[in-house]
Amino acid sequence: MKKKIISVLALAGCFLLFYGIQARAQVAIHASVDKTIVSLNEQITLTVSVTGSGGSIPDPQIPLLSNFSVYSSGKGQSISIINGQMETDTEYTYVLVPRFVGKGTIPPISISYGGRKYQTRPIIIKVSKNGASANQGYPRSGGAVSVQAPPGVSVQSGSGYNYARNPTPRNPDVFVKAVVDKKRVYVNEQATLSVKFFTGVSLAGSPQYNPPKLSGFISEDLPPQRNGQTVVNGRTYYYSEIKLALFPVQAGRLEIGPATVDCRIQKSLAVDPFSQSFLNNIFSGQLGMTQAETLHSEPLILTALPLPDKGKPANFSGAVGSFSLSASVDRTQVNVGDAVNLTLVISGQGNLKSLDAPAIPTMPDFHVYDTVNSLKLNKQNDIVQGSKFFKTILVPRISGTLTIPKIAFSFFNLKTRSYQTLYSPIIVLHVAKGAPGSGTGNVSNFSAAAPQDVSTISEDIRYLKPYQKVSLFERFLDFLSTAGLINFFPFLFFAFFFGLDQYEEMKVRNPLEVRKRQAFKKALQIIETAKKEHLSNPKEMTEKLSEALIRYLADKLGQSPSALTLKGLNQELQKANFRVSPNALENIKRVWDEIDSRRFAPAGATTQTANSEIADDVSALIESIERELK
Amino acid sequence: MKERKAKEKTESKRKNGWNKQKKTFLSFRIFPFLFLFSAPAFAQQNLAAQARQKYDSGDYAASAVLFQSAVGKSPDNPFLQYDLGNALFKSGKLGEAIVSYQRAFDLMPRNSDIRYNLAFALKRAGEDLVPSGIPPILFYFFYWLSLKELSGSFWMFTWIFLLSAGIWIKMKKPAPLRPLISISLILCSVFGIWWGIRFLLEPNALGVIITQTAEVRSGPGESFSVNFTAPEGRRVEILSASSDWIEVGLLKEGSRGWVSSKDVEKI
Repeated sequence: MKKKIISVLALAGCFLLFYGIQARAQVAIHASVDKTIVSLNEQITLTVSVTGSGGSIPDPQIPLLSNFSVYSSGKGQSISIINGQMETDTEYTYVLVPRFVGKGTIPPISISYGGRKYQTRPIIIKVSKNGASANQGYPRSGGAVSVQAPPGVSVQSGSGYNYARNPTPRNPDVFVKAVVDKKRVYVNEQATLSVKFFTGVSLAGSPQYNPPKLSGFISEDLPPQRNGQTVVNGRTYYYSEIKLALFPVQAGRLEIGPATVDCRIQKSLAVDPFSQSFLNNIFSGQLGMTQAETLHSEPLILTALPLPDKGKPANFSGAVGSFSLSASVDRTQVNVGDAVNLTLVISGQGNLKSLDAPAIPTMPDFHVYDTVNSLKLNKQNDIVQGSKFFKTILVPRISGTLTIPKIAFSFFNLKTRSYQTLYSPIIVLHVAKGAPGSGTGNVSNFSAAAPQDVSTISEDIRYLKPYQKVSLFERFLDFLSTAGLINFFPFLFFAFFFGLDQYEEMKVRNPLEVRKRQAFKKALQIIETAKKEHLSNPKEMTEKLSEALIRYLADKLGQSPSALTLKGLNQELQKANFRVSPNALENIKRVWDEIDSRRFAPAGATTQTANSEIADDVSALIESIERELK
Repeated sequence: MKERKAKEKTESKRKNGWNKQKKTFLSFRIFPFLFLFSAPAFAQQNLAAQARQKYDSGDYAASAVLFQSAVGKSPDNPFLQYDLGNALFKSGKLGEAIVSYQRAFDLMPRNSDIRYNLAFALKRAGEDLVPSGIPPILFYFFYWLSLKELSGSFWMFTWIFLLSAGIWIKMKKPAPLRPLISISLILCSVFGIWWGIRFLLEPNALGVIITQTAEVRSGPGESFSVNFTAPEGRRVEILSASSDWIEVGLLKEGSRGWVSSKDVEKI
């Protein structure tokens, strides 16, 4: 069931898509002429306009216009995008020269697109004679075309026409002659080739002209065909002249091949009514015999000179001639996203068809679309001239006063024989921001059509930073990084407490050792206290001195002071761990006895001086033992 | 007894009065010093404001002069160095601009604006901020802190670690201090290693070519041949100096030679 629904939806989608494509691919064709009443020598400009919303619209099919000589004059195209949909408008221009007098019709011009055929309405043209030649037309280059018989020469299609003539090598009945106006030209400079068909006899039918084979040239027809009468070597000829503008595309010796004309000339037979063959000729129809002739012009050589390298501008793209440059925009007040049509016009003499669009400088403020060109040619006095239009759509990306910079166009000036660079004026546009989707031009606001990517217009450094002070923390870090010896303080701090800790630990682990180390210091402290506080009291003084000595020795020996006797002391000090000299032992004994004798002496038996001396003796004894034990 | 109490009261009042007087005295004494201390900051701010005005009006040369004065008063301010770099860049002095940007970068490498403008200016000089082959994210991480910040952080955590460890020992190793000691030891080690690597990898002394084209010679003098030329804005390592000549090594190309001291500005 689900599959069926999906299939139906898919079909509906395909149908809608197809319908949508068909609906979108609308094409309109319209034809117009600049005038509908003309004289025989006048030209009619036929403009066929094809407008379509799809891509790849084919060229219109011009029907066979047997009553006109048709010449294609160019094609111009403009593209517009409305609401995101692209429309192209292509104008085809043709020059028509009537070859009849009276009323004629330009039949419908058609175009086939998308399976449908679109066509224009027929256009009626009235041609008046006005004393002009009835047979005048433009040849079409690139193929065999009919050449009108020279005026005054009657063209017989049926019966023969007697025309007295005496053809000689110097005065042939018919001949073709081709000449160029210049033998040496620069590359892309115009040389005019003239092909003349001379006839001094009657022609049967229209002669067929085959243009010369051209190699290394771009050719441009120079209508109209000229006819006239002239005398060559004493013989009167009627002639038809076809001109071509040739533009060499390469330097060197270039050959212009022979132009050919196929014609049928009337045979002029001597008429002798008494001749045996007269009747035969009458009955066989040989009195009006024609002869086919193929006439060739002489091949020509043209020397194309290379353009000088000296002074060649970098932007030179091969334009040769004499030109002017102008630039314009359709409006100068726009919103961001609106389209502005920039039109560059190059006018002048030269091979305009081959002109490339001048390079548009980089404009980061604009979105620049492809350039479309159109051509308006005028071949007055057999010189290819006119204007070429280059249209470029610019869409401003940002608001403000924007400028379209100078655009350069370089060409080789034939008059001065030097390169010349033209510059377009700077164009200033005032671009407003505008509301989103407010694009008013024929190109819609692009921002409304679809989300766009961020595009880099230009790169620059970032802007200034607001004034900021260096933070205190930064300053603090800076201070620490440059503090030098101050940074050793924490090491000392740590080392102190670490050492203290180690010492405390040692005290706990080995108290005897601590007693040993501190014995000297404590003994001296007791002696000093005794000297200060008990100097006048000999008993106390002696007690303290005794305590100092016994405590010192007990600490050193790791014994209890109360258990220490002089005898035991001697035994301990003589052990191997103590290297006390015999003299020191003697002194200990002496001082010990002295203290004991004073301790037990009656009161008042000793003076302060004696007390002080015994204190000094104890100090000296302890110091000497300390020195010896180290 | 009453007399004693009264005396004590008077003494207390005197002491309080002295304290008040002391506070007032100190505040009066200190305030001008504080003002004097902050005066340069105000001056810098004014100079920077004037320089900014000139910059906004497009007078970049005048802006650069004013920023230069502000930088002279506070050379360790990365933002002033950055602004000076901008003014110099806009004045067309690419080499000097890179000097300022590099100084700003050395002071605060993690600032994206400083980094961007230095990279932008270096690109103009044909050099890249991030060496080729090194992922930018790694480069930016490695240069997230300046050398001073790294050394300052190292010393800061060293202080914290040693002081807290000392106190911990003194206080008979209480448990609450242990996390502080551990974290500070880890951070001290990290910043120490980071600082050490940066110190080893970075060139000893950096300079920038400030003239349009510096001729790099094979020796310290005009008599020596020119080996190559270095464009404005190219960073060089200063290897040694001899009177008016400096021996430089080009960071990018790895070449070395002698240039006139006028051609190079030390960072």
